[in-house]
Formats: sequence, structure tokens, C-alpha cells
Amino acid sequence: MNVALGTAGVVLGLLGALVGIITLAVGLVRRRPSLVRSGRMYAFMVLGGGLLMTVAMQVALLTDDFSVKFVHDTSSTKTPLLFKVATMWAALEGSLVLWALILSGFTAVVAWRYRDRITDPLVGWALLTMFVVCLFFFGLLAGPANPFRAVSVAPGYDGPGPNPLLQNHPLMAFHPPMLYLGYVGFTVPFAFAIGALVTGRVGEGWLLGTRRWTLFAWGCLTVGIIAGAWWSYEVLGWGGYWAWDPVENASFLPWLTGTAYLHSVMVQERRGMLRVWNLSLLCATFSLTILGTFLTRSGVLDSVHAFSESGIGPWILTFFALVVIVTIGLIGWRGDRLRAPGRIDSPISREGAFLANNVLFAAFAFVVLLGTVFPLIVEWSNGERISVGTPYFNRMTMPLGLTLLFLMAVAPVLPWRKASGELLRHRLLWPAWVGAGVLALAVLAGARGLAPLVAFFLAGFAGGAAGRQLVLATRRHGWRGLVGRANGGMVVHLGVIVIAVAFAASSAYARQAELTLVPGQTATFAGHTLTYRGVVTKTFSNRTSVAAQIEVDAADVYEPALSTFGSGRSLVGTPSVRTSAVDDVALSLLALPPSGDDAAPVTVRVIVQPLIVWLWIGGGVMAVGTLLAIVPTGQRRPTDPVSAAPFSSRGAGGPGDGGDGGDRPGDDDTGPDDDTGPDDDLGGRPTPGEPAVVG
Amino acid sequence: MSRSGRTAELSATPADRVLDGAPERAGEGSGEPSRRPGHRTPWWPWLLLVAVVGALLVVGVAGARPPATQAERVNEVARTVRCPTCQGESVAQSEAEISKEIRLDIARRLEQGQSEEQVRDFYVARYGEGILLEPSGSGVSGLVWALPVIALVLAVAGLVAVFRRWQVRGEVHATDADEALVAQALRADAATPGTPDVPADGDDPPTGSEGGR
Amino acid sequence: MDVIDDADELAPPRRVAPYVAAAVGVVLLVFIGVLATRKPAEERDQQSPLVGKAVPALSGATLDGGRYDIDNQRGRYVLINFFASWCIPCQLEHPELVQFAQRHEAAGDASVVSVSFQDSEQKIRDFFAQKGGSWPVIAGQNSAAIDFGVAALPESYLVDPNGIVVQKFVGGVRADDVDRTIAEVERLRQGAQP
Repeated sequence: MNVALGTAGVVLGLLGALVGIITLAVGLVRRRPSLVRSGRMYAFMVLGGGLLMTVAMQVALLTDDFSVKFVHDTSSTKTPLLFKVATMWAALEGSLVLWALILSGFTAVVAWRYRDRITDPLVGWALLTMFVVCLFFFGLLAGPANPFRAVSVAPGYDGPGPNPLLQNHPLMAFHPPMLYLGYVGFTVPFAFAIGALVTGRVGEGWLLGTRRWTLFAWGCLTVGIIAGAWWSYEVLGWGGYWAWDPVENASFLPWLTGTAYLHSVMVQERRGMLRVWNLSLLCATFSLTILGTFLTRSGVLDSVHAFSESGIGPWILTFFALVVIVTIGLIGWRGDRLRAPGRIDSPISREGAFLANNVLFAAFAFVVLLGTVFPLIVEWSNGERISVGTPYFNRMTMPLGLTLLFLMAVAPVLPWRKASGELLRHRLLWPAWVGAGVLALAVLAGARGLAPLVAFFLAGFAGGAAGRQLVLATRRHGWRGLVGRANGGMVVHLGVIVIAVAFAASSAYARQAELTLVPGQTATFAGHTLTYRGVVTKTFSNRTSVAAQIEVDAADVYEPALSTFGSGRSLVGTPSVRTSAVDDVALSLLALPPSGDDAAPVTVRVIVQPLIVWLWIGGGVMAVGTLLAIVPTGQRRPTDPVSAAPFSSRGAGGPGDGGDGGDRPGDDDTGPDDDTGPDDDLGGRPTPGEPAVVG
Repeated sequence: MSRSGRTAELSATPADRVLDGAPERAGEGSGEPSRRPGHRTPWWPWLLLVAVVGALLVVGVAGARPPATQAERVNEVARTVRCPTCQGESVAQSEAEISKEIRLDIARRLEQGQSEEQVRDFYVARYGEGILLEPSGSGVSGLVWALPVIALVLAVAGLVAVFRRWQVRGEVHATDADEALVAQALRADAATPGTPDVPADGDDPPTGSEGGR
Repeated sequence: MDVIDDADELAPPRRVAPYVAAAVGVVLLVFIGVLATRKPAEERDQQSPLVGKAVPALSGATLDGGRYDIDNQRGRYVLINFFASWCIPCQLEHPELVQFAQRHEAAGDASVVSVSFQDSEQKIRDFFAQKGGSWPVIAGQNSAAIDFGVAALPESYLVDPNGIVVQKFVGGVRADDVDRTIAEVERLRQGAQP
């Protein structure tokens, strides 16, 4: 039953995509609007297919229908409800079901959102591109990664359940869907970029149209990555949250290029420049999601959380090659036509800062990509096996990260076009003093070492700059000063800064020890007292846990455990973490006392890291900032007379024009820096007024 | 709203100023504080800042850590040695039996007076280059260090070159024709205040404005 | 709509995009080619830098009270087996080792030595009593595994009569495989000195 329904869903999606491609292609090439209009409708057929197969899979998982091969291999009657739902993305085929579902959802939303403009060739080609991507993913599900294969089950069969690590923490239910929303979300701007390339329509219109999609995808990816880091911190038990593992890098790469794009696109909106570069960044972001899919699902790289090996590697690689060839071909064909004859007046300007930002993010992405695939390249060139791990990535990315922090401090106060040293001196003064204050606090708190201290100073500096912009904007516009792209962006910056501080502190000042304790014994480590009380055994539906009760700082009791899941193949550690705003004490149980011997010692690993909780808080701030940036500001519609008023009086000027009468230095100096105000969605075109002042 | 931004700086009606042929040049010393001609940000707060930050950094770096303890030195090496049986984890993180043994081995070797480099070299001799999480700087694996640096240098050099060219060209570029064109565009725009900046949602905006230079 | 390339633009726009794109494309296609020809990580051979080099020092007390030193074994092949009684693949592998030892017992041209890893003497004794095998066992020298670059148990190293490591066997070893390797090495040696 579920096999039939699921297969029907896959076939429906596949057919919908296929017929959609043909209809749209014929309609677009022959210029037949009626065909294009009907082509749009197949998006809903694809969505129907996606929903049908997902429902079939979920029903199969929830009702323990082991006649479905995927359920047979990965689920178990004993798996708790939440993890039964999450089992869908705990193994390869099911994760592709989720991917295809989200993709079909995006496709349908695009078809619905642009229903009035579907006959615009640009939109038509974009939808066609989405259909092609749908075709690929539904094709994978129909063939090489079919989760709905039927198997015969012996009566009384119970499956092995998902990988124990994946049913150990509720975050597993949220992290992959968020991540996939991000990955797949980048398909939309990519599709529009392809549409723009095919039609040769160079304007900024399509960019503005996809701005929110990009922000949404980026925000989801951000949350997904941070949730993943949180999950590994809570579950893996070595106190780490980021290991530069190939799978992590695969999610980080599109984030880096996507972040670069979000910044450089502002130069295009404002100045009409960097068109080819922006298109390339979008194409790179999408290609990197496909490459990441390949790296994590083909078994070509060693990774802690790679999916099990499967035969779909060649398929994904072929699709990746197709994407690369098509996009590079299109860019090569159209590139010269797209280039805008603009120039940047001075490197010390907002656009100059965005350029620097892009160079740094591109370098960052290059380092991460190179480090991830380098073992494969070396093996190919001379057959040797090498590893590229955390020390390499940390060493290479630290200077880039610090420079980015510095840029985050300076860039927000820079005006477009050109800034004088005088101006910078004035605007950056108190942000720099904030940095000095943070540095002083850190030194007083006992932080030592050059790199982390420089990071703290720059973080304070950048935080001061972002705060300055937000203060100016809210002073002028009240709560509205927090919404819009520029202001939401500053909130995102604050989140990034919080994460940077937490990252620097937790990695530079981590302390780790292994303690062997007998019941009642107390040990002191890194300013915390730990008392071992005894062991308890707990039985859950899906696992049996033996937990050591450890009292931390003579207060609460924490219970790091070792659990046996299902058929008891392996012992899985479940760490327990005491979290506070200052530091985290992470406990994991390394060795159990022999059963029955209550007086025997246990061995516990203790990892004390400062400021860990701020990583997750920073992630939350970034999410909120992204939402603020997405929120329509409702101001300055392009047809709004106000938006055309700058030529009539000062009053309608940028938020920094001193309109509030404040005369103190520091609050009226954002003159050319109108981005502190609620940002306009559509008003970014290069204006006729500008060339005159370019000189 | 770049235009609105610009107006903030201009005391007169901006269009007039522009038409006067005396467009204000952002950031040439007189930038925006031109509204308060006498005001200049003094240097001394920055000098003080540099002194304070410098002093703090000196305290933070010089008063630094006591000589590394044995455990820290072991950890330092262990973090760069890959756990042979795990995937991507270092010996410092891993709980595999062999990793525990290697940690003991590192401690033993350091106690015998071997340098951290010697310890690492020993593991390379026995396990192969792949045992180190940080590739060596020699041979093909050196590329992983060199390539990003080369790429970054090239990118920065390219940007510098482009800026140079722009600046050279920029001086000869502000022609009367330009100004006239702009003035014309401005008048046209001012005459139709309701003109959307960009045709709603996706159509191509006029691109001629940027082409004006 | 095309960009209006103004006559003002001093230099005519050069056609660079196709060349840049072609260059990037070539690099990426080579990259894809590299990815396409990689074997899955799991299947990659476990090479050992020790192969072709002199065997690392290995000596110590054996379970039967004697002393063992690999340097005293010159003149015949030695199969050094790293194992633990708690390791299941090791238990499965053991009959093959017994078979190999028996085949060469009479001729004396090859021998086996086992090196235990994180194990107790009593358990090793039980293991051998139960599964057979009377070759020397070095116990309590966990660091020996590191000297040989052992990643996971079981692993075996074949040392030739000159004390050179000729092969590393990852996972359970099979007597026939070892004999085939020995035959191969012998053939090469004969070919080298006719």
C-alpha cells in the first residue's frame, strides 16, 4: 500500500517535471504564451507527487510498515515517535525524499507567486530550470535511490532502527529540514539567474524579485548549520561543535558564497555593477549544494556523518557536471553583454568594502573547498593518502575571519562612493572604543594570547559599528529602525559577532581532563567541583542507558550515560552538559564500572569551555536579523511620491540627514549613509543623480 | 535611495547644486562635515585608543601563559594526529583504543625529550602522511597551503590594478557632455516624481543611467 | 535589453568572458574527472610506509616465559599478527593463522608471532587454549602496535628473510593470501638474482 502510494508520488513528480519541461521549452522557444501558461500548472503536479510520496513514507514509518525497504532497513517499532518522523532524513534515500519535497514546494510557490508574469520569458526559463532540478531529484528517487522498493517481511520482524547517534537528540528533527530548506532554497535565485542569462536580460529586476528568496534560503541554511553544530556538541561528546568535517564543509560552502552574494548584490542594486560576478556567485552557490550532495552521499570522502555508500554518486556527479557546463557556458556566452560599464571611485567606500568582503569570502570558500577535496587531488596526482583536518582549516581561516571582523567594523559606517579619513575618524571613534572596552574586559577576565584578544577587540569594534547604525536608525524611526535589509543586516552582524567571540573564547580557552572517580569522591577541575554519586540504569523504548550521576558545583546532578540501542550492537555515549552564560561543563562517560560493583570507579571526561551558549544565542540573533531583513518595510514604495522627493527638500532625505534636530556629533553624521534607514526593496537602481557627483 | 542619501549632504537644492556644475565630491576632506565647517574630529582620541589597545594587548600577550604543562604539550600534538580508525577525528578527541594508546605514546616520547616535530615525524614514518591532520608544506601537499595565498594575492593585485586604471581614467572622464546628460536625466526625473525607480518586480530597469559614464 | 555601451567608454569592451569561462570550465571539468575516478573511501588500500623498509624493532617477553626478538628470526618469513581476544574479526581470523603456522611448521621457512593489544594475559591464554596455535605471543606491549602503524585490529605484517616488511594485511588474514605473497616475493627474488 505505502509502496504503491510512494511510488505513485515519485512517478507523479517525475512526470510532472518532465511534461513541465517539455511544455515550457516548446512554449518559450516557439513563443506560445498559452503553452507557457499551461506549463506552469505542472508545478502543482510535481508538488502533489512530492506530498504524496512524503505522506506515504511518513505513514510507513509511523505504522512500522516494514514492507517498504527504507523502513525495513532504517526504522524500528521501538523508535520513539519524534525520531520515527525524523528517520526519514536519517538515511540516504529518505533524505532525498525530503529534498525533493522541499524542492517541489519551492517550485510550486514560484509558479504561484509569478502566475501573472509567467509569460515573461525570464520567469518561464526560471521555472523551466526548477523543473529540470526537480526532474533530477525525482529521477534519483525513481531509480538509483528508490526508497519505496518492496521487500517481503518475515512475521515478527523488527528493523534495526536509525543510527543511534541520530535518535539521541531532538535537534535531529529540526536540523536537517532547516538545512535542506536552505540548500534547496538557493535553487530559486539560481533558476532566475539562469533565466536572466538565457534571456540576456541584464537588469536588476530579477535580482530584486529574488532577494527575499535568497535571504530566506540563507537564513534557513544559517539556522540549519548552527543547529547541526549544536547537535554535534550535545551528542558527539568531545566538546566540539565544528570539526571541519567534509559534511559540515559541504553545508558551509554554499553559506559562504551565499553570504558573499548577499553583500555584493547590494553593489549591483545600487550601482549596477558586478552583474557577472553576482550571477557567478549564485550559480556557484547552487553548484556547491549539488557538489556537497555528491561529497556526502557518494562515499568518496571519509566523514563522521556521511551517508552510507550507495550507487548514486555517479548520477549526482553527472548532474553537477551538467550544471557546471551549462552555467559556465551561459556566462561565457552572455558575460560580455552583461558587464556594466561602471566603476568604483575609491576603495575606501561602501562598494569598496563590499568588494573586499567578496574577495575574503571567496578566499574563505576556496580554502574550505580546497581543504575538503585536497586528499582526493593528492591521491589522484601521486597516489599518496593525506589528511586535511581541523588544524589546517583553523590556521588558514583565522586570518580571513579576523579580517572579516575588521571589515564588519569599518564597512557599515562607510558611505557609498568615497569616504574621507576625517569621516572615518569621526564615525569609527566610539565603535573602536567599544572594542577597546571589550578588550579590557577580556584582559581583566584573564584572557590571554594574541589571536583571541585581537578577535575580542575586533568583535567589540564591529559590534560597536553595528550598534551605532542600529541606534541611529531606531532613534530616527523607532522600531522601524530595526527592520529592512540594512538594519536587519546589522542585527545579523551582531549575531555573527557574538558567535565569533564565543568561537574564539571556546576554542582558545577550552580545558579538558579525564577524571576517574569512586562514588562520593569529589574532584576540582577548572574551577568546578565534580562529585560522583553513583550509577543508575534507565530503560527507554529504544535504548538502555547506564548513567553516572555527577554533581556539578554542589548543585544540580548531571547524568552522562552510555546507551545500548536496539539490538545492542554498539555502546553510544550520551554526554550531559551544564550550561551557563559564562561556561559550559560537558561531561561524557568513558568507562563503566563493572556491573554490580557499586563501589567501582568510573572514568569521566570533563570539558570546560567558556561562552559556548553564546554560539546558539548568536545563531538566534542571526535568524531574527534575517527575518527583520526580510520583513517588508512598507516605506518608500517606488510609486510613493516620497521616494522621488529627494530633489525637493532635505526633509525626505536619508535618515542621517540630521532631521531629528540632534546636533551632537555622532548622531547626525550618517548623511550619505542612507542604508541605516529602513531599506527599500526596489529603489536600488543607479540613479541619474549619481554620475554627476562621480566626477 | 542613493539620491536621498546625497541630498542629506547638500544644503542647497541638490539639483541646483548639481546643475551649478559644482557637485559636492563625497569624502574629499570636506565630505559631510561641510555642514559644520569649523568642526574637525581631533586626532588625540585615536592616539589614546591606540595606546590603550596596545597596552592591553601587551599585557594580554606578555603576561601570557605559564610554560606549557606536559598534558598541554601532549594535547597540542594529539590535536594534529588523526585517529587511525575514526573518520576525521583527532587522537585528542577520539575515544578509540588506539587513540588512547597513541596519547600515551606521545606523552612517553615527549618525556624522553623528543620534540613535537620528531614525534609527528615518527607517526608519519609508521602510518604514512595521512596520519597528520595538517598536511606538510612540501611536495604536492604544499599546494594546499600555497594555492589559497596565491589566489588571494592575485585577487588583491587584480583589484588594485583595476582601481588604478579607474582612477587614471576617472580624471579625464568628467566631461561636460556627462554633466549635461545627467542634468537632463535629473530634470526628467524631477518632472515625473511618480516614476518608479524600477518597474515593479522584475522587469529590467533602464540601464542607461550607469552607461552615462 | 542590452547594456548600453556608451560611446563614452574609452576602450571598447573586450571579449573576455568566453575565455575566463573556458578557463574556469576546464579547471572544473578536470576536478570533476578527479572526483569521478576516485574509489570509495572504504575501498582504498591501506598502504603502509613500512613496506619495503626494515622491520621495526619488536622484542619482549612471551606468554610462555621466553623472550622474543624479531631480529633473531632472519632467514625465514615472519607473519606478525596484531590481535586482541576481545576483537571479533580476530577470533574469526585465528583458524587461518593456525593453518598458516601448520603449513610451515615442518619446513621452518615461515613463522607466526602474535602481538596482543590491550588485553589480559589470562584471556589470551584462554583464547589460544580454545582456538589452538602454539607460536610465541608477546603480551603487554601496546606500543608495539603504534610502532607498526596499526590502525585497527586485526592487522598483520609479513616480513621477509632479510627483515624487510613486504606486505601489510588489514583485517582478517587468509593463509592462502600470505602464501601467495611469499611465492610472489620468492619469484621476484629469483628473478633478481638468476
